Amino acid sequence: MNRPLVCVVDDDDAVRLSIGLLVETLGFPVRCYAGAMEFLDDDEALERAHCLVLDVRMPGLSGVGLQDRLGRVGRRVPIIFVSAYGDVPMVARVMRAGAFDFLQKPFNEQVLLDRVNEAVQMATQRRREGARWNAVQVRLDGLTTRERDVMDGMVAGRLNKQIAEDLGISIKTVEQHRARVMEKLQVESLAELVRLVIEARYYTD
Amino acid sequence: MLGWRGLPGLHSCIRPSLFGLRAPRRGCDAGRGLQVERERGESTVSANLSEDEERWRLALEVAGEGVWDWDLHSGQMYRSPLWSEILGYAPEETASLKWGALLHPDDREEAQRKLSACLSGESPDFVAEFRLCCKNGDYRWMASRARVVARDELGRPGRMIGVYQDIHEARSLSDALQASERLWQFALEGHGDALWDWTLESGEINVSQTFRAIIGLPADRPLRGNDIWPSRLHPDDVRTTVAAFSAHLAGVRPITEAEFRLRTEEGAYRWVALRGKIMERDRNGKPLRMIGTVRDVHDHYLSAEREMRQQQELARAARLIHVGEMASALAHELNQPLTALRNFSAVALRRLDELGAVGECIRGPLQLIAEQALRAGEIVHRVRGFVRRDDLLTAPIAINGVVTDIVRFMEFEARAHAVQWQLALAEPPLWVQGDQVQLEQVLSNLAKNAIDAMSEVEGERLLRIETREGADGMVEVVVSDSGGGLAATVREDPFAPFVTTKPDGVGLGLAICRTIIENHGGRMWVERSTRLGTTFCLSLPPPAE
Repeated sequence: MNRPLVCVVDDDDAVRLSIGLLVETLGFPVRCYAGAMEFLDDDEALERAHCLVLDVRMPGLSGVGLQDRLGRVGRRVPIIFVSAYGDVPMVARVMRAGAFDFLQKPFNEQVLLDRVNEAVQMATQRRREGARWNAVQVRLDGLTTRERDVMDGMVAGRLNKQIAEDLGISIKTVEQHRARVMEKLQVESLAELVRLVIEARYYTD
Repeated sequence: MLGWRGLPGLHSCIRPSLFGLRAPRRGCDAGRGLQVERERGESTVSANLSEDEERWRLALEVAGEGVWDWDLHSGQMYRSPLWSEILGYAPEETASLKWGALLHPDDREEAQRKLSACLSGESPDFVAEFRLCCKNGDYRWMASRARVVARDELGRPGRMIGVYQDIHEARSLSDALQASERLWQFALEGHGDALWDWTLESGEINVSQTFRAIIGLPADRPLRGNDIWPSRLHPDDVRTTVAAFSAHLAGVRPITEAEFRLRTEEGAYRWVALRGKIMERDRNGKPLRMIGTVRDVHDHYLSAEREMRQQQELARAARLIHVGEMASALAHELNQPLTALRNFSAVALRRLDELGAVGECIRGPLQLIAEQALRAGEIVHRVRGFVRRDDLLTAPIAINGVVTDIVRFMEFEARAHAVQWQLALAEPPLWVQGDQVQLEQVLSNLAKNAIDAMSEVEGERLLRIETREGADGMVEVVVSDSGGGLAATVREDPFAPFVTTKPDGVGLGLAICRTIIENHGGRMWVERSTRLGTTFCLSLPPPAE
């Protein structure tokens, strides 16, 4: 699932093939599609794509259209646009929508290769972080309500005594919950706990 | 009365009866079978109906003719009851009526002149139409025929018999008709149309004053048919004009319609438009008479010619603009293969690295390939700079309006090729960001191609244009024809430059169109091409927010 895959979408046969071959020299597996819909129909590619090299103008769904759709369903794949035309408004639009880069044809092939490399790295990093976040979520979900309450207090910097007062329980109980929280979340220190929770909350945002 | 009173001492002579029968000195009267006997200065009236007389009486009654019998010696005038009836008088009132007094003042002179002529023997018969005053004061038109039936040895008239017919209705009708005709003539000529009236057999042509004015003929010069037709006809127009006439005369066309040049008195030619129709035919249906109008359309023609020349100039200018964009189209077409070329050379060079020393001999040439590809790419970049997108004057444009403009602009061409328009324009109207002139160029190019594509189609020739919303908020314009589909040579890539099916075409039309659309940020493609027709689509961006 996490093996990187680069997908090339361009309706011009020669260009598509040439980009595919070029990217292959980087050592990544490559899949080529003549149209955006063809790519969307490939579920595995959707899952595995670490980078998309897209032409802008194509019959049917355009490159920009594909970018919109992927954004709508929350698939954050780095996209490198390659196009014969690149006027400022259009380029601005795709970059604002989160494109990784925009290259004008005929482009310097080295530049493309460099950018593809960077894109794949970024995607890999993101996935890793995503996985980590998932793991954290699982752990957080494993907390009981009481433990969660205690954790919130800890992160807020409240002393045990204060937490006990806030929750209407004994200090002893607080200390017990505290220990369980540290154990379940697999953190060694309060600082680690705080960072973890902050990250989790950040991701949720 | 004119003083033809009876002269004393006149004796009777043989009087032929009114109808050429020999009657024994009797005149007949339809009303009462009177016998007028000539006695000295007096007339006696007695009722004496014979069979003959009865017949004649009835005949006259059936004919609706009133009878009068005038004894010029005695001055006595007999008038039949029908005569009185026509004018609304009771029979006993008529005796005192004086004909002269009853006459309408306008008709008096002519009627009395004719009467004198008849009485004097100058004319054998008295035939006249005049108005007589009825009892109620109205005038009625009467027609009278009469003859002097008795003269003495000196030729002086003794007796005159005549009949009256009430022609009031007919005459009123004919008067009204004449008035109406005059009105029409006035209306037509006031409008500038000249009238002509052609009698086919004799070849005679009557023309109105306006006609003379068109050819520049003075009003008084006599005009014969031959003076106009066919001598004044421009030789180049003879065939078509004669054909137009023949078509109508043969019954193929309901009217004759033709435009041709007529030579004026000055020797110049003027364009006229003629319309004519057969008005009279003989028993067998053969045309006898034709009437019609002629209108001077010379100035109109001149302006039409001028307009055509202007259009040709515009077309030529458009072609020049195309030449400028030719480079752009070329450049775009070269872009894709150049991109692929560069990529492939790069791939080849990289794979060479894996081969190691064995592939070194190839490296040099491969590198050169890559360099040349780079160079070509730069040329493309530079050439495309000639027609930069920034040069486009774009503005928000209502695309439906562009379509209707094109329909109007190509109306003539479509009609000439019997092509029907079918418009499916989006409601509410869609807007695009674009250059109006260039968009019109593209659409008219597509429309022209569609018309050409259907030039061989026997059945319906439909040119359909649709505007609709496309994917990603773009606006799409769809142009379809019902032709035979794209020809084999262009089917593969209709937008490829320098490939054409037209004998004198350069093959850049569609390439340039696509360039224009892509300059706009849109796309152009062939939606379908089958035996039933071809559909081109283009998409354009909505106005920039």
